[in-house]
Amino acid sequence: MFIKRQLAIVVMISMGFLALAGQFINSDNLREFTDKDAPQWYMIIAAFAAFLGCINLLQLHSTKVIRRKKDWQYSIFTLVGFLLMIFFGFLYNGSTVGLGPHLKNEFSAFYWMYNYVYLPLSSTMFALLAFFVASASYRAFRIRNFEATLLLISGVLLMLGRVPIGALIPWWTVIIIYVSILFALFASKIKNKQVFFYSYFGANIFILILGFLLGWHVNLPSFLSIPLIQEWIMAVPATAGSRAIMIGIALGVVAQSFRIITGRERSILGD
Amino acid sequence: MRNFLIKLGTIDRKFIFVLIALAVLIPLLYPNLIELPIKVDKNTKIVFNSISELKSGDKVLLSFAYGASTKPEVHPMAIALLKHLFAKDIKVYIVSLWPESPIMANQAIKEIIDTKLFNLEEGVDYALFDYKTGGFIVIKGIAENFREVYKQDHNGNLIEDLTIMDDIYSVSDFDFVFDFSAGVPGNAEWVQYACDPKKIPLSSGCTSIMVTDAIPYIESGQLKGILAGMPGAAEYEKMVYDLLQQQLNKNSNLNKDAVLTKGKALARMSAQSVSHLLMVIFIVLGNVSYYFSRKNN
Repeated sequence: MFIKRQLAIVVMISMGFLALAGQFINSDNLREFTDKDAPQWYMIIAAFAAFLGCINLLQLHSTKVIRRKKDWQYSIFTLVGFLLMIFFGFLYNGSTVGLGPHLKNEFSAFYWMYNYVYLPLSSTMFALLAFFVASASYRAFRIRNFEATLLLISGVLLMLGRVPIGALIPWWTVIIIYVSILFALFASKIKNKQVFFYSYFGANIFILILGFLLGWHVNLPSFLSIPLIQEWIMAVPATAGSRAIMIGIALGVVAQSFRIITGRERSILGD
Repeated sequence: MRNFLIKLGTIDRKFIFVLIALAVLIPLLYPNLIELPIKVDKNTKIVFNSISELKSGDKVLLSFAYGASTKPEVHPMAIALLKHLFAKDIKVYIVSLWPESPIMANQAIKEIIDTKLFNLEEGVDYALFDYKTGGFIVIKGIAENFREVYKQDHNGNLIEDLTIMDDIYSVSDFDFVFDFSAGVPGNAEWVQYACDPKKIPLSSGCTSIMVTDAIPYIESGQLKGILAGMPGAAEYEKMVYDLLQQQLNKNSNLNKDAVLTKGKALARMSAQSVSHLLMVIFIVLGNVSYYFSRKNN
């Protein structure tokens, strides 16, 4: 109990304070510890953590199979795949080079398994995202309110702007998109449908004629080019959002680190 | 008509899956069926210009942090960048921060050698280093003392015996750092722990979903542009292909007899274009159906 709780808390607090002190106290020994020793320790512990992870995976899935828990059949695949890769990684070589370097030798059994089994399977799993995104966007990207409309418009512009087909969309299509968005926002305010549709078509025709007179079909203004709109979305609103999230995360990290080095946060001990 | 539009909203998702599969498969099987012009993004241009400004003999550190799942997206940009670097006779140092990355790095180098474009010698023109566990700690280690982290290359040769390693002690000894990543550790860790504190120019090539996280670093100048996912890879491939084609008979670093081939990302762009367009059509149809069903209710 003492080793699992009190000693662990003492180690956690003292290491936290030492690492923090290395950034503020001008001592060579302390700097040596934070810059050299602590990172080395971290790398050694991380290597052992990988080993522990393997044992944990074996334990978890073996128990699931033995006790016939829900979906235990999938665990058999996990265990077989795991043991097979261990066999080819540690016991069976298949190439002329020694064990160890054989992991990157294209004639070894391990490399064959990686290249022709794991790599296609892994890529397939990632590629499945395309199907789910397509299906989800069809059902979820709906003009429900102002925020959802903004998300939809920026999503569509980004999707088109990032691929070559976006550059092929003519300027007059972009004008129709702008006018449609504008009228979609004010649609609920105009009760008479006839007035609404006449003004919608009138606005489109007026701006298209204006575009021709201003020579937009020759010199394309940046607000009518979908790839340039996409670049602007990424450079301005997306950057602002990302920066806000980053600042939030940084403040959260400071608060959480303070809780850990003062011994208040004990979730890492399994509490 | 109205009923048909309302029914569109409740369409079986298997039908959408089949259409997406066809939209991806047909352009992949017949890449010349749809030839779309590639428009180069601002950030890709910045990456290309930053690499172009490097001089012969400069040293570039490449960080590989991706694996099998993201190989189709990130690997083509690694190949294109290696071609660009070797064409300028730049020394390349590759470190791996993901367990699978050494295999990716080996495959990238093998693909470059197989093109027969360059006369490369390992340990002189490039060096490969194996995976080290620890993520950002490895980056921090490289920033402070490269030789503390890596004692030997991936073949087991001591660093002291490699000609290419002369004068390399920390990240400050490199002229440029390029990160290929698909998660953590990635470009954010390189900015925070190595390149920004040591003032070494850094650029990155990553998956599309990572770009939003990297954008603040690009806007602040901490990242010199970015190759954003498959489109970024295709744009960079095109720029490098055009450059090598111009230089094939003039550049002494290139073998004149070698056959130049276009990269894989370029061929994949038509598949991505068609699938994106199809998704937009789905979204529009979904909204039309939503409008009529809401009106009915």
